[in-house]
Amino acid sequence: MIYYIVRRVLIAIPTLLVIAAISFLLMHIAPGGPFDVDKQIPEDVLSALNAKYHLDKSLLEQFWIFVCNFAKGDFGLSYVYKDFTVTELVKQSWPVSFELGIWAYLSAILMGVTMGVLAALKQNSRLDYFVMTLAMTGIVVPNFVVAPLLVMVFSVMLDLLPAGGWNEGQWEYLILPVIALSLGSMATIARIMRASMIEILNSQYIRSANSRGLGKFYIIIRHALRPAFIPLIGYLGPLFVYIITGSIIIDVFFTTGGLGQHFVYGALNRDYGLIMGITMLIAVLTITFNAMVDIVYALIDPRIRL
Amino acid sequence: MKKSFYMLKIKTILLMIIFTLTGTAYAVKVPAGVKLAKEQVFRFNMPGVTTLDPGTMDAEPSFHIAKELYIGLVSQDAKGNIIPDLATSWQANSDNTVYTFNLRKGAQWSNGAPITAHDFVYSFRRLLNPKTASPYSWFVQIAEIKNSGKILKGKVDPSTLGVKALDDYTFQITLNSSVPFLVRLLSHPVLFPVHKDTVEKLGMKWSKPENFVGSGPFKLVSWHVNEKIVMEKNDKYWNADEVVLEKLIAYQITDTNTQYKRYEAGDIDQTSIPQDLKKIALSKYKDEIAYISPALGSWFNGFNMLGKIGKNLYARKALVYAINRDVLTKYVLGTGEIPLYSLSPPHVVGYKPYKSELEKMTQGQREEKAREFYKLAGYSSDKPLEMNYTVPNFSNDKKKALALIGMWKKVLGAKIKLDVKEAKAFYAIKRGGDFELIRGGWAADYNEASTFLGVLHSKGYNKEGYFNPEYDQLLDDAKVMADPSENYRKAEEILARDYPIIPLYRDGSTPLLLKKYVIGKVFTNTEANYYHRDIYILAH
Repeated sequence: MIYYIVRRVLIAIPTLLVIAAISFLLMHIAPGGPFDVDKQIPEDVLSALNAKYHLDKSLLEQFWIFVCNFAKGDFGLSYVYKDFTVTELVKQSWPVSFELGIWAYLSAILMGVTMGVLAALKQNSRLDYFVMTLAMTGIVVPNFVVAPLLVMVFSVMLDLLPAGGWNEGQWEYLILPVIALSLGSMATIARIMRASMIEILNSQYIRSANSRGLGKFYIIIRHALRPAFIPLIGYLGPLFVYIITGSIIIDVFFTTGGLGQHFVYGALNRDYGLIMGITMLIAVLTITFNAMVDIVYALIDPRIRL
Repeated sequence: MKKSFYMLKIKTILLMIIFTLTGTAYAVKVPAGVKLAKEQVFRFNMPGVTTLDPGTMDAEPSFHIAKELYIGLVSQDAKGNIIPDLATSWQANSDNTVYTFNLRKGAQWSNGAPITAHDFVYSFRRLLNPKTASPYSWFVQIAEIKNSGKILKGKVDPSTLGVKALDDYTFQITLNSSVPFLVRLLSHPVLFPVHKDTVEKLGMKWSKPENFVGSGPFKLVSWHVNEKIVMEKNDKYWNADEVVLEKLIAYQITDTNTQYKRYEAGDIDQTSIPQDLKKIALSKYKDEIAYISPALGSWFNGFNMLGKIGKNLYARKALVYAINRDVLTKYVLGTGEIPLYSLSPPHVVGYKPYKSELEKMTQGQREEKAREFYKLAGYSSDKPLEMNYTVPNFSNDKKKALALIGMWKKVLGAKIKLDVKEAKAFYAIKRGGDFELIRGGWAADYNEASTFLGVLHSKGYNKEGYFNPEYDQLLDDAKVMADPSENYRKAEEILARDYPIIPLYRDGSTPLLLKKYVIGKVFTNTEANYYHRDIYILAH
């Protein structure tokens, strides 16, 4: 196990380097820069700005500066938010996305698994069709449609919940973004669980357990659920990263001050420092979670060797 | 003698008791008998704030918040007139090249330190220092402060800048040449001082909430980027007794529809109205409508005067005359815009508007003249005018462009091609001059016509590449004139002859929504300088 983890960490280093290089290149290929604005900055001032942010150096030099700083854990300055370093911006927005992400993740798994298992147990019944229709709606309706609908009903019409903001994470501000964020994944999880559960329930060893007279509930919990999770595990790893970082629309719509907004505005504003910082953060998260998923696979299925 | 003295003392004490009980000592502006809300908090939207350090600011949102956190030599009242702030009085020498300001004694920073002339000297020098790399340092050059140009180019040290502290409370500015409207410029937050000791000690960390030291009616409490900025009343502000508001929150909502929904849900107290919801909003919230005074903005298209078609005077005139500005403003844009036939909007200070030939004609006459010019330019139905029209991908600009292209096609038969570019790519193209016809516009940096006319000066912003020595001379001479309106009119006449730009429209009176319980926020300042020091919240 230890060797496995060390191996994964060592492979991660060149992976991150390649990701950084490609992102860096793409970022600079895009036309326009952070200091291209409507009221053009005069040349003298522009050269002072370029000097301050190393934009007057060659791309290779700039990349090298970035790599050296990254190794020290320093993501450099934001090119747009002059009062903040990238580390500070990430430190401020990460807890928002993380908390929303965790709640959305847990709700999606809990609700999704429950819905999927119930639907599988009562396959082709009215409950099954109802649950699956709900799931389909969740998958098909994009969250930028769901979010405004939720706000219209719960904030404007019923005046029960705030229409946006974060307010240091008070629970009222979490509810609507978490629902909007988890619906799609909840639905997908339900479908995966249902399919997987149906396959398991029809397999030989379940049927033989049944014929031996074991209780249905016991069979499900002790024999069926664990293997049914296997197809789901592969989805859960990337899902976590997606929920945290792919919450772009939710962050922007609810103005939560999370990572998603930095993603969007960083690119639109050509905030090179911020873009690289967030890209590397997501790269590290993805690599870490994929590794964790592989480990969990091995723990659940004894047939898998690391 | 003794008896009357005692009576006076008793009367005074009684009056004090009465005042304390009735609360009229709270704030002078609140009328008696008015019931104030327990929580004096105003929540509005000001997205896009990138920095709260006046030395590094470069855009409107940051300027707006800066006006709450800092003050300068002068401020503006609701109508845009200059009023004393940190400077209680000032004098200029006979040719307006040396200005001396007497500072308010007893004015303090939010940490209790006195605000002195030395803070001003430090801050002006810091603004110009190439190491600070302030995107708005060119503003100091407009003020023509001595040596500002040379310092920006790195030729001389910032300590040679024409600013001096004659003593702790006397600040003097020396200019390269006469600038009669210098004091007007000083109400811009970029020229507000910062606390020297704090900035020198903490560097870029100084404007963080935990370190913040300001001078304005409010102080910074927290800033969650992209969520909101929270400010609270600054008790050390020199006029704190007159400030009733306790808390000011600036949300960072970028989408107009989202902003509107938050207003409907009661999360914020002010909102602009999304265009497609205008009719509904104006009828549903008819008690909450406020109108913004027409801003000082001019919208136009710029020709590349060095390009093949841009060189052709008749081609330019044909495109200028063919447009129906009434249709454009009323039906295509529809948020109160007003047709404009000149570069400067008519209500800017120093400009006495006149009607050009273009403006005096009827639309029919204009279109006929446009066709004449088209022929003279050498174009016809067999050989139509073909040109690229570059716009940024904002919905307003795309709408506008399509309407104009339609008009040019209908009236002239010209084939203008729309070239939509993403915002940053657009700004890069504009900077490089790689366009034939481009969307343009200018929002005033200060309320004087030279802010607009200067755009086409050969040394100005001038992406059009317009070089006219006669025009330049008129503007250079106007700088030292007490009444430059004659020169400004002549300059506009030249533009109406050469048309390096296609004037289109100016911003009109847009409606927005403001909760009924917010009192004192007026939108009559044409430079859009709204100060929250004067507002209070009714009980609701």
